[in-house]
Parts: sequence; C-alpha cells; structure tokens
Amino acid sequence: MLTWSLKSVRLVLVMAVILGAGALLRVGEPAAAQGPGAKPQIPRTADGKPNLQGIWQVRNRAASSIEPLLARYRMPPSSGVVEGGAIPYQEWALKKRDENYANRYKADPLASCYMPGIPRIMYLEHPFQIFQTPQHVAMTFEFNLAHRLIYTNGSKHVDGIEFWMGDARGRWEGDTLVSEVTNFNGKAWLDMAGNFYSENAKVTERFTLADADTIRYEVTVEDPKVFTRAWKMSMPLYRHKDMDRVLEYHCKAEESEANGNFERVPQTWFPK
Amino acid sequence: MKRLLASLFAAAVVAITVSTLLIAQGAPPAAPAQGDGGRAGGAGRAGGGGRAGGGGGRAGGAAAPEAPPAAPVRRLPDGKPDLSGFYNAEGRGANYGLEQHAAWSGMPGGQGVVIDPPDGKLPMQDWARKVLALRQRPEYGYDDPTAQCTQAAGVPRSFYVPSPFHILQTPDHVAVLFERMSWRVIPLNRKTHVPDTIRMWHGDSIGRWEGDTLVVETKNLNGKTWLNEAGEIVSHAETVVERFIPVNADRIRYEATVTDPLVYTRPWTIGVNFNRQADGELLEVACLEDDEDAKHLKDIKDAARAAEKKGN
Repeated sequence: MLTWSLKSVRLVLVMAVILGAGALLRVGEPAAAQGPGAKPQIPRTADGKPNLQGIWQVRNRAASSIEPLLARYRMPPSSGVVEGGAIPYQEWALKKRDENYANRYKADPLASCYMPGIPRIMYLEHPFQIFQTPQHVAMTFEFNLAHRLIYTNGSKHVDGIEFWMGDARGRWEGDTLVSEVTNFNGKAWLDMAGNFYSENAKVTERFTLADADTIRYEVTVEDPKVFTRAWKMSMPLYRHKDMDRVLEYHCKAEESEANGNFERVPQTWFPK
Repeated sequence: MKRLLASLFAAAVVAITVSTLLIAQGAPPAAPAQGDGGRAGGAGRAGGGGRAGGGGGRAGGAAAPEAPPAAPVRRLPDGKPDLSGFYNAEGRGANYGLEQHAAWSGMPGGQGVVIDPPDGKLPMQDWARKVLALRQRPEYGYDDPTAQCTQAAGVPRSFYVPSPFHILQTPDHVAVLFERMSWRVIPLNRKTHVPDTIRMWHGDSIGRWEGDTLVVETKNLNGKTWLNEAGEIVSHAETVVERFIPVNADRIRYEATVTDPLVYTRPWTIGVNFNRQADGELLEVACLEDDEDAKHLKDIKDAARAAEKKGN
C-alpha cells in the first residue's frame, strides 16, 4: 500500500514536471487565440507596443473611389470604404466634387504624379513598409518613393507651414497607434473620383493590429469648410508575406521617360 | 618647422588618447569608441587614430583643452551605435563637383570630397571626360534627372544634395528618409540582392555592422542618375560600398567607394560628414508640384536643339 502510494506520488510529480515544462515552453511561443472572445496574439516591439513593422497593402479599390462607384476607364469599380456609403458634403462641395470627377483625367493631382496626400497614399494599389521606434513610425512607399514620418515623441504640430502630406503627430492609445494629421495645403484629393478636402482638414488615423498579419486602418475626416459633419472610413491593410522589399515606382521619372524627356544615354543606362 | 609639426602631432596623439579613455568609460567594452574620423590624407581607414598610442596614460592632460573630448557615440539597447536622427551633410560643394572646383555658372565652388585617389581627381576614362564636357553646356542642364524633379538623386548623391535627411534605425533595418521625398531602406539581415534586371534610382542595398561601422553594399542601380549638377558620370555598372562611421553622438563620418568599370579606370572614394541637429524635423520638398525651373531648363534645351537643326 505504502509503496503503491509512493509510486503514485512519483507519477504525479513526473506529470506535474511535464505539464510545467509544457507551460514554460508555451510562454515563448505566440499563444494562439484560446476560445471565443480571447484576444488574438499580435507581435510586439521590445517596449511592448504592437509591432506594425513589415510590408503592407490594401486589397480594395478605394484608390478609385472611397464611395461605392461603378467601373470607368482605367478605374476599376469600388464597393466603397466610407461608413454609411456617402460622404456628407456641403452643397457647394458636392458640386465641386462632381466637377473634379468630370475633369479627373487631368485635374487629379496623381495624373501629374504629384504627392497623393494623407490618407490617399495609404490605399493606393502599391505596397509600403512600416518602421517603428519608440519615437517615430516611418513609412516608405513604392509610389513615387514617398515617405511618411509620424512623430510619437510627444512633439506638437509645426505652426504655419502647409504640406501635401500634412504634418502627423502620433500617440499610442492602448494597442492602437493614433495619428493626427493637420497642416494640409488643400490640394490633395482623396481618390481618383474627385473626392476632396481642404487645408482646414484634420485627419485622424487609427492603426490597430487585428491579428499578426492584418492592420485595421480607420480614418476620421473633420473639415467644417467642406463637410456637414465628421465622417469615417475603415479598411484592412494586409501583410505581404512574399515580398523582400518595396521596389521603386517613380511616377514622374517614368512619365518623363515615356514622353522622351529623358534622352536614353546608351553609355550609362541599363540596356533593357 | 618639422619640430613644430612633430610636437603638434604628439599633442594630438595625447589628446586623442585621453579622449578615447574618457569615452571608453561610458561605452560598452566590446565596442571601442572612434576617434575623429577626419583623415590625415591618403586612403587609410578613418577612425583609426582613436586607438593610437594606448600607453600614454592620463599624464598628458594639458593638451585636452585644445581638443575637447567628443561626446560618446549613442547606442541602442543591443549595443549597436545609434545612427538615428535628423542630419545635414557638410556637402562641401559635392553637388556641384566631387573634385576641387571653382565657382562657375552660378554654382558654388568646392574644396573637393574625393579622398581616394589621393590626388582628389576622379579616375575617369577618356570618353567619360568628353561626355562630362558636353553635359556642362547649358542645354544639358535639363538632362540632370533632378532638374526634372526626379526626387531620388541616386547613390551616393542623395547624401550630399543640399537637403537634410532623417535616419531611422531598428535592430534589422536602417531607413533613410530624404527631405526631397525619396528614401533608402537598408536591411541588415538580407543575404541576396534583387534580380539583376530590376534597376532602381537608389538601387538595392544590404547592410552589416563591422564593429561600430555600418557597411552598406548597393547594386541594381539604373545608370540614369548624375553624380551632381556638374554632370559627373556613373553607369548601370555602378556598385557602391558606403561606410557610416559614428564619430560622436552628433556626427557620422560617411565614406562611399564607387566601383564603375564602364566609366572609371579604378574605384574611387568620397568622404563627407553628417551633423545631427537634435531639434531638426523633416519638412517636405514638393519639387514637381511647385516647379518652374524644369520648364525654363527645357526651353533652353529646346532652343539649342532648334538652333542645331537650323545650322544643318
């Protein structure tokens, strides 16, 4: 009896050790979501913030139109990303938007290879890469070699200078990176369909990792000059898993070359 | 005179030794601090001076006031030098000629940034000298891609155009955002370059740490860039090895060795310093969007071409 119970104690101890070791091992691995309602496991940086780094791209047609829109020449159809479907334009602004739409092949700043502005660059059909330190979040885009630098060091917006890409100051709210963008020059559009905002706009972006390979990207646009109220859009950004690096698409340079503005220099140019 | 030089040299060695000792106290032992990267001529490795004459001890402190010890190199938690920050290059006129040159045609002169070959001259092949002379005619101004607002100025040119840049550093990447709206991304863990047929304005870079120096190899360049407004030449055969040598908390010594057998008879190296501005922030240069210059340069070119036709 005594020997049996000693044996069973030993067995229990061995099992406890095995279970304990298993539990210890699990600490190091990304624990899968356990049961309904459990938070998905997301990668984190050394300082414990969600790690947004990697190469990302949308899989929607917001680049054509952020409102639902049928297909047009060089403009694939879009099911829209604006909450509620329609942007709450003031009357004059809706007319202006329709005018933009009619003239889009020439009037769209992107037709001239100008900078896309924020948030438009985020949903172009081009990949981009995110880098992250405690003080900054940087993004490098394939389109036009554009970049963004979001300060997360507590600094304030610059005063009195306007930019195509605005001035972005960010902060972490729990596991969400919140970026407030102001100081726009009012020349950028929101999409190819002529949707627009003004230099008074305040764009608030929220980046939240839904899981290791998906960022939920939400945008609130406030601009009392153009809209009757604040409005929102949201979309997933998907991680590129098979891409080594973001390449270069230098819109203007390619246009110049296509138009013969760059004369081919046989001695120096790559032969192809 | 010789004696004076010798004693100056001795004083410098003592000063550097003292400052090295001071710096070493604040730095991890595995990573010796660099001395000032300024080079005493010739093509040796920069930064070696900091390690010279270790036996001096602290006795020679008298020389220290003349050469105040540089602030130690900043470091990341992993012990690597922290290169991050907002920088301006001391371009020394490199954007208007890498060799020593007088001011001409509205462009500033420069003392030259070529540190190898030692004579400061680019070892150009004869045909390249001829093309260079051609590029310096006014109607060729438009052919410099940056004149047409190509934001990516090329490698190494983006580092000495007169515009600041921001370096961001993570354990596996160094990203450089140039104010003229272009970027370079330098992965530290990648092993192979993209396929040879992919050619880019800023090429394909792979970096690695050699002690405290970030060494970056760049290939896949497109051969379209000019080295500067003077029209100095590189081709698609160009490959570049860059060295980012942290000198102190606020300065990086930058050296780039360009190998381009189509244009040059041998590799050559330039060196410039980057100075950090702690409170600096990147603005936005909207070249294309505000451009008047390109039109003007195109007019000059078109007029010259029309005149040529008339002449025929």
